[in-house]
Amino acid sequence: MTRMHHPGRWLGGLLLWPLLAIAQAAAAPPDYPPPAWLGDAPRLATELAAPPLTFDRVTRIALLSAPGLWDAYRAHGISPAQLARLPHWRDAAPLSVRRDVLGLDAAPLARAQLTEAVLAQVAAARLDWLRLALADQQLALCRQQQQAAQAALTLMQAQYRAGNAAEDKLLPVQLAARRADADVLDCRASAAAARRDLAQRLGLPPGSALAAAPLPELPAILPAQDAIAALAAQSPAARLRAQALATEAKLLPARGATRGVSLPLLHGFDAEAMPPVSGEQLAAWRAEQEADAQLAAEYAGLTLARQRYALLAEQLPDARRYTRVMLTHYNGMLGSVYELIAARAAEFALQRELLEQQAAFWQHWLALDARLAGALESDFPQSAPSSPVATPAATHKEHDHAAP
Amino acid sequence: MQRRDFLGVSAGALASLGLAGIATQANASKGSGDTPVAVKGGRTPVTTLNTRTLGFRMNNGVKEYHLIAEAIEQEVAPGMTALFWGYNGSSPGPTIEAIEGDRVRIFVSNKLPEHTTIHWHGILLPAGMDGVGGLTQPQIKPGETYVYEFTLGKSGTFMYHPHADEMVQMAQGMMGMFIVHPKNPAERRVDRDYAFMLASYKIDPGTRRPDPAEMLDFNLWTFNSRTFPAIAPLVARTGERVRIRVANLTMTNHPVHVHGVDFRVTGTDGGWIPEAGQWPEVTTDVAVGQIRVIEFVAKAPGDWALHCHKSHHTMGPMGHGVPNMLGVDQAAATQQIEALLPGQHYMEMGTNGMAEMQDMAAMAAMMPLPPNTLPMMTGEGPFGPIEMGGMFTLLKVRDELQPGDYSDPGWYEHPPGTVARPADSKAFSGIPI
Ligand SMILES: [Cu+2]
Repeated sequence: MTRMHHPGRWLGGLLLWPLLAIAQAAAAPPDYPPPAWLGDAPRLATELAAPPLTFDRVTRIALLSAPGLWDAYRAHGISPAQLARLPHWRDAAPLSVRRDVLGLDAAPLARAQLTEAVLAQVAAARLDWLRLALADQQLALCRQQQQAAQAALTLMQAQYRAGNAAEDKLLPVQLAARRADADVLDCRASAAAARRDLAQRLGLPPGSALAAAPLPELPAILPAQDAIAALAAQSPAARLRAQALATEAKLLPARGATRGVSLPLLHGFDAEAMPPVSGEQLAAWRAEQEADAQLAAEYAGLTLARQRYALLAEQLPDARRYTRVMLTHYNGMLGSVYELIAARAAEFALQRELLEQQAAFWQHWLALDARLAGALESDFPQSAPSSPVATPAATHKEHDHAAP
Repeated sequence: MQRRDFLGVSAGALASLGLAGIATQANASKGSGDTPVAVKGGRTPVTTLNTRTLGFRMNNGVKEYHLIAEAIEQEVAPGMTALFWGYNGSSPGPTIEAIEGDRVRIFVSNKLPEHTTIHWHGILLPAGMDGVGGLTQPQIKPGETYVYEFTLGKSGTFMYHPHADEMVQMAQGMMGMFIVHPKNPAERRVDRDYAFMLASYKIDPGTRRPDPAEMLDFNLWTFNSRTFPAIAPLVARTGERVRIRVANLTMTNHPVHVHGVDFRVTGTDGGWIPEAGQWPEVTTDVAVGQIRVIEFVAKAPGDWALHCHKSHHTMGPMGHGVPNMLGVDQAAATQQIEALLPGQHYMEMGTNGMAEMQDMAAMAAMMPLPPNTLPMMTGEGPFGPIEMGGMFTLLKVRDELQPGDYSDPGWYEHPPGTVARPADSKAFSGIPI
């Protein structure tokens, strides 16, 4: 375990903490108010969850208080209460789970179960965060669409009251406005559900007022597919599969060849000439194939979302320009004010589509990153540095050197 | 060099160089302006609004003219130019003036991308000279020049226009006037002789070319392919006898109305109307494919409106899908629409009428119109916005105007006490209503 003593490497801190006292406390059922064995972790998590909730903050909170990690922490003797005393939570530099927490570059195969649990929980938390960011931004656009529909209705109602429009004109506009109301209701419910799910995932109180930072812009260039494949081959999962295959290969000669079967098709062939293969090897090869296929599908999804996003993004300036053109037509009494409102509403609809593709891209990106054990995470565009969490001076000084 | 001369030279020069495509015509004049080309024998020459008379040469007793059918670009009114097809650099083409009994030889060169012909509307001539493509002659193919030759048996007011792919070619502006003066200069003599053609176009806001497929829904109603305020005014000296020849090549009728005079219809494209057949009018309807010649004595000085009486023909382009906002309280909706359009200027319109449209047009920097179109209402008079457009111009009658002076005399100065004014409430209280 000497390799874990590198200063500044979180894993050292995590794994060197005494296990026993905590293991006992961890047996207590989680409940609110938080159990004492969590120590300051819930308070710190709540502090870190202050808006705007960024990708990096979500990662930190997940490590600190995601209930999905409790079993793995207990199994590895990691105390959330002691974790909370680490000074690193307040570092301004983005945290890399792969490098700073798990030390995967140095020891890719160590602590496989903990690594798997941490990667899985962090990835799940990031995806929930993405869902919330999408839902909140969707809700804002939903409300703008509602405002557009309502503006048309208000005007049409005024025309109706003045005796200038009849129900054949009024009712469709009214229906559209009510549909927009229903849409806002759905958008709001999605955002609330996303907020609840994220709070639960992060071990935050159910009513937490989480507000995700806006989705980042798409990167200018994508890593090439063969580079992704190379990274995948280096992932702990791939290394473990390779290790299993190597072990099996050594064991095989002792087990002997597979017994031959008599089939008309095989007449004249010597079954014993077929190389001996174990069931474990077959399983490992199947897993390899499946992993490759899933990786390729994820990459294809990423590429498609990016292309769709680019096509939609190209349309946005034209949609905006069309609104301005409709305004000139309105100014010249050449076009209807309702056409002007519809043009603006079409902009909002396009922005929603754009947002969906933006979220789809990052969803694929995060899934890909999880498959690569965090090999992409440091490329995630970090939002502008938000104000660091207020540091209680006493706590900071007291536990400045948590790692021996 | 005078503007008329410049135009004559430029169109001719382009023609002789064989330049294909677009000849750009200089701006419409402000007044009826230029002194018309003299006609032999002391006859009063015709003034074609915003357009010139075609020159000719004598060749062994025959008057020779040359018309060139070609694409042109021309201003409809300030703020809008159009890609027309016309003759010799303009739409309508230059007016042909001749004298009863003249033998005329008219060369027609086709610089259009498709074949054409010219029909001499109303003129009695040999059938083979009538200009109906396919029926009385082969089509004049692009690049070809044909010659027409006939004798003008009677005086009157006529037109020329294509009789080949008519729907397209007339919708693109191909037309012109053909005026034959009586042989006897004293016959039907007038002091001022004006002419213009009624032409309508569909040129969508932001576009430049007339839509030839439009049958009914035109948005530009013009005199000589210009709209108010780019249409030249008609000027006359008080007491002068004035003739106006109005030819209609649109797809609908136009009740032409003149303020400040009563007139008689003295002729049509069929010929002169004997005095016994004339009656007083202030409006005469000019049906499709018709000419009405009206005459009057300009008795009263002033600036008098002369316009088509269909009110939507005295307007710039307007959308038909515009919702009716008259009497609608838009305040709440306006707030909501403004919130939808941050950083833009949105102005509610139409609650109290549409007169504010002209103010809107005046604020074009803040509230822009589409490019290359005209405001629905325009024109600035001595008392404020005139709120007109399309088929509208002015008849300016002045005591002090010199005979033969066609320049714009400016705004009429009313004698004191002769202008409508706000009334004192005491002055009208007690009148039965
Ligand atoms: Cu009219």
